[in-house]
Amino acid sequence: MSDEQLSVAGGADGIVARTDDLYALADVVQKVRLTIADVSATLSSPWLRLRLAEASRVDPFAAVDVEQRLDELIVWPSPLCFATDGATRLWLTLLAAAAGYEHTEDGIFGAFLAAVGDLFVGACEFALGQTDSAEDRVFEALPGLTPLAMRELEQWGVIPDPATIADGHPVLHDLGPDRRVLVRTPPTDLGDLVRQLALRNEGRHGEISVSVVTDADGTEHAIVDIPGTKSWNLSPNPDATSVGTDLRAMAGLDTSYEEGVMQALAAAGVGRQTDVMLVGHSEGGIIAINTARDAVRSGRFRITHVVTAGSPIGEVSEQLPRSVQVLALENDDDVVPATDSAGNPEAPNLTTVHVADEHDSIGGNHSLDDTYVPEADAADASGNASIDAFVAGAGRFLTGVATRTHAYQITRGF
Amino acid sequence: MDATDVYLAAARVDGCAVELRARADLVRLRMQTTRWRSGAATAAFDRVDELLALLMMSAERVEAVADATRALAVKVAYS
Repeated sequence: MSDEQLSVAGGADGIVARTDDLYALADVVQKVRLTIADVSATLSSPWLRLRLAEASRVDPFAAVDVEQRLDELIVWPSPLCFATDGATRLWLTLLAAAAGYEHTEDGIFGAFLAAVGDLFVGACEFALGQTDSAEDRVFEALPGLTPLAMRELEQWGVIPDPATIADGHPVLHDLGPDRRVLVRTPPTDLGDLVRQLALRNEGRHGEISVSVVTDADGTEHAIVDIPGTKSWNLSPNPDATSVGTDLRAMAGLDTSYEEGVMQALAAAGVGRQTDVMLVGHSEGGIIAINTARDAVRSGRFRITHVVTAGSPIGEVSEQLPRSVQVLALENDDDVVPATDSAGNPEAPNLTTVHVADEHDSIGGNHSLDDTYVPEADAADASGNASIDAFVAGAGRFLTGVATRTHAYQITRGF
Repeated sequence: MDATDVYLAAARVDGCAVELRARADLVRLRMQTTRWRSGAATAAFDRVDELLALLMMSAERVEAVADATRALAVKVAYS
């Protein structure tokens, strides 16, 4: 784990100073933009042109040559024009990067403190036998115990390096076919995909599903729903979604959860010739990206599309093959997608859809039902070219005439 | 006509080149003192070198125009 990653969480040599650096550089770049504008104004000024016009009486050819060269400097396409364009993009990128780090800093520590408070109250409620409210409270705390907060704890020596976290091996449990109406209905858009993921999220810890969608011509495509963290227990435990998986997956390491997804695909009869879409929430999105990366590299499965909701995939998606199309739904008021401190890379195969959807709670801002289902519906209705291109590319997953879904549970064995 | 005006025009164009080079130097200096990290800032820093190259190329071309203008001023002076 690099210093750059750790520093994002703040501390003595932390994010504020570095954010100031970015703002200072943005200011210098902004002055470059102003200077180029001044230079362009000078080179096209009537005063200068008048001097050249006067000089043309002596040597018209030389004067015309100078005028043409002046025009070539200030008229598109010229290095000066490209420099203006480049400085503008750089300026905006620096401002966005600095603002993003500030957002991460503000959000992560607030979320972390709130999570610690929830855990304390939850522990008291457990002790008093108020199990239901205690579980709710602990679950509410989960998004606050995000990988970035965990990294800070790692720096303090409270938790170990991700590579040393015991991850065991996956154990796949067959939960049988799922014949609920919503699951039986073939998805037609992003909203349907996220609604089905939300339904799966209500299941057991480590429960995922493989849905085989059949086209009118009989062609089959597979959609895998991968929910997120269900346990904050860092010690070795059977819950494949527990937070140790977050830490390992964020560091790009393989996990039992990821291997379990591949085993579920194989168990569902999905072969190498079948196109696969992975749909993940929170930690499930990181697992989806890592699974796609490893499956495509090894040729084990043909994963063509990934949809993530509220997942910090900025870093892990850097390693994703370009053949995999990704659509990431991110709520700017949700701290979880920002916890890797990395904005999603700008790439043709990665479309990130942002919304600002404040629910006055960490859980609400990260919720599939409250936040990401509405965001997916809004994305469907947006008419945005990038979103439409992703949906068009994923067309055969969304035009099925029948679907059969099988549920599995992935646990860890040691 | 007065050759001085044409010399002044050349000097103004030259001044533009000086400004562009100065701005490029300031960007370079600021870069040296900027602590940066991976992630969103990476995209920004990848673009800095590109911007510096464009500024230097622009400055060179502006200087060439200034030279041509100065040569014109000499002709005016001896006309």
